Amino acid sequence: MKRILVNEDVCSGCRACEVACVAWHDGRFGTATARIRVTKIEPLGVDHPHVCGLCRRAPCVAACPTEALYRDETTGAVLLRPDDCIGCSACVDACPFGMAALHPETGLALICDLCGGDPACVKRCATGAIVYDYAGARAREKREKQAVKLSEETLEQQRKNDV
Amino acid sequence: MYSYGGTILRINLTDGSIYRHPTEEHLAQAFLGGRGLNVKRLWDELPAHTDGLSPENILVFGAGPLVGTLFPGGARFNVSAMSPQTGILGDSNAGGFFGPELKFAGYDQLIIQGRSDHPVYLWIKDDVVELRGARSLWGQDVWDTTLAIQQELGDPDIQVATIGQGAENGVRFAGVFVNLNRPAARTGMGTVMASKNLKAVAVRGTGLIPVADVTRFSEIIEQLDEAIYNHPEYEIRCRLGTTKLIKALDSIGGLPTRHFQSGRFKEADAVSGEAIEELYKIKSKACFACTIPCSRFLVVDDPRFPGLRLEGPEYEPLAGFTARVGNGDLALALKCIDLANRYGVDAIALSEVISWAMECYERGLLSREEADGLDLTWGNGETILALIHKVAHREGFGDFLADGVKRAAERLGKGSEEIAMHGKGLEVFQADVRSIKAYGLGNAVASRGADHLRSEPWFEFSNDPEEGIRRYGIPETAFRLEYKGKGLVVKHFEEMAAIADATGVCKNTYNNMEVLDWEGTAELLRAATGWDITGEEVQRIGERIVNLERLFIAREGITRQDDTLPKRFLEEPLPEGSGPSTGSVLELEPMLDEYYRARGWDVQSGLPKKEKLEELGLD
Repeated sequence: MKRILVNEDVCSGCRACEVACVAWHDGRFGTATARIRVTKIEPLGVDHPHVCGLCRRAPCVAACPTEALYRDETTGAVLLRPDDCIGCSACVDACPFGMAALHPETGLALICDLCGGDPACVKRCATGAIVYDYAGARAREKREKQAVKLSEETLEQQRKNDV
Repeated sequence: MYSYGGTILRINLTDGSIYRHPTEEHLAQAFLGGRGLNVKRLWDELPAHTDGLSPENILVFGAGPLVGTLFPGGARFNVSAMSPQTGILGDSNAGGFFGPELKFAGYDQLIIQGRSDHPVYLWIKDDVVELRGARSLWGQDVWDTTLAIQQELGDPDIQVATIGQGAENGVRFAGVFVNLNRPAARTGMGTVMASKNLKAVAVRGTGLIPVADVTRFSEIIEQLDEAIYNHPEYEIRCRLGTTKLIKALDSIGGLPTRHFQSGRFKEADAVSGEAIEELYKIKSKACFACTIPCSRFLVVDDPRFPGLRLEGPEYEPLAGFTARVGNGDLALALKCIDLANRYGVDAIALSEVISWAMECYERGLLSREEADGLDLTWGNGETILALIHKVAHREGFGDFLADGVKRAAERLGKGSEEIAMHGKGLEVFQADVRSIKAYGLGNAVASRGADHLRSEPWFEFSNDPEEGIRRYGIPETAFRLEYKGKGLVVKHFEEMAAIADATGVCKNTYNNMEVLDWEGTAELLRAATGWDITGEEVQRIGERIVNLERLFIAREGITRQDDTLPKRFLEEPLPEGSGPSTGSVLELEPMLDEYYRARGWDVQSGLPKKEKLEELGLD
């Protein structure tokens, strides 16, 4: 199962992911209804995209009193049956990542649906700060980076020894 | 109104009244928004010869129709008023995140009138608009004010446009700053804001902006993204932003070294964008929804400047605090830029007054005693830092410089006026226009005083004579050292710059990378607004804005005589050692003739002819 993987080190903080999300779902432009959120701490230069955890045992689904939330078995996203949602915000309170909200216009649950398996936010990310890939894809990348770094250090040490 | 916020917000600070009216669609069709709609407002509502610092002046914030959409870099707003620095049109532009937030709150324009009797800031949360006390913020710098307001209102996503101490102390070239490091700092708009006792505008918007045809609009944006990703400059712009220009201008002999005494700078490599990337860059940063992260977050690890972190810089402040003042110490330059941002003053004007004082000292026009005992030798770091503090607080010799170089030179006299590098009272940017002639013409005729961002005529770097013939019928237009045809080039790029500022997009993409032509812009605006607009009409809007700005400054007495630049550019050949530009001067007069003719303006007076105004609906 693919998920949205985050690399905040290369996030430019532009918030295009939020706008692309809103455009895809609401057909308009803004950030208020985004299902992906970028935290910016400007004095420190920090930009961090937050995404839905696609939790296997999803607290939002468990908390929903009307069973309006359910898991899409293909993508793993939590989807909403709008007719069953009563807008009670139980899912908002339950989400450990702060990634559930209520739509300011409809009052219904607002949770990442992965755009049906082709997330609009990822398509618009210019820097690769968010990618749609299997869990562990970044882990492999991190391991490789670590390996390269270690071998570089070894080479450096050898060079020093040679001198 | 598709792609607009839909509302104009008026605040009278004298009596605290707040008034709203719908954005006038007929004005939007004629001027789009941003800079265009702002100058229309000033023209209609400001009496001639209004004192820039009087309560009668109005301060207008505007964000155009593409702001807050997915347009890459559709992030920009303009702030405009009568300038207290130049006495003509004041107008400045910045990116970041403030413009989009204003649109999401539902506003295309804020018009601030009158003067509060005590310091206040304006808080806009969608429909709720409130003036709040700012006594505790007065005296605080741009960073502290921004963070204090976000904390007071309890939301770090609030966007703040604020002034620093420079504006409060009456520095005439103080700006309005957003996102801590992003200045709209030309022409003293912060100074106007301070004169109104308005410390900041804080805004949070939760609305969504509809466009007329979202499918078509999104398709065009996707094509634009592709064009940008495939552009030959994409990679270097992501790495270095405009700081790539330090080395580029050094190689052609176009740097403003020691106050335009040479086009090359021996220490250019050490203070280049590449050096910043290598030594201090943590990561690339971007404006709202931009695909080119051309800004950079820097952590400067230097024991002399503990805790120095900043975003940026652009080429302009970087060249200003390196080549222009003769300083080869990169960390020091970054400290200077950080101080300029925190005090909230224009780094271009600030680097000019300092480098002008240094040249005056070198020539014996200014003594050490007159400069508070400071050693004004080129590149003296302690002196440069001291002068920044002094200017921002208007202390001692800093008070003398804080009115801008034109006034300082008038006061000093002794011929120092001739080396005061300004046009119409606005300090010249960081390039020697003897090496780039279209930029020279652009600076001479720019409606807000000497400035490159009114035209940004990159085409003269193209070295593509075939394309010069295709576009302008003149092969020389493609070469920077030629002057023939540059009147046509500047006219064209002025209109592009006007459209960029009126729609709210970035000139890096729109002017320098030319990602959209007139027809492409029209296609996008059709999808955005639903108007039936053609490419020719888009060009006409650009032309209308340029002409109305000309009318505005003509009302303040500007004519052809004022469309000029310092004698140094016009008469002194670029000195030996300026590389391939050595020996060059700016042939301004023939370029002006050609420009006025291209514009349909009177060649003697430089004023628009009646027929031209009728044609543009400005009569």
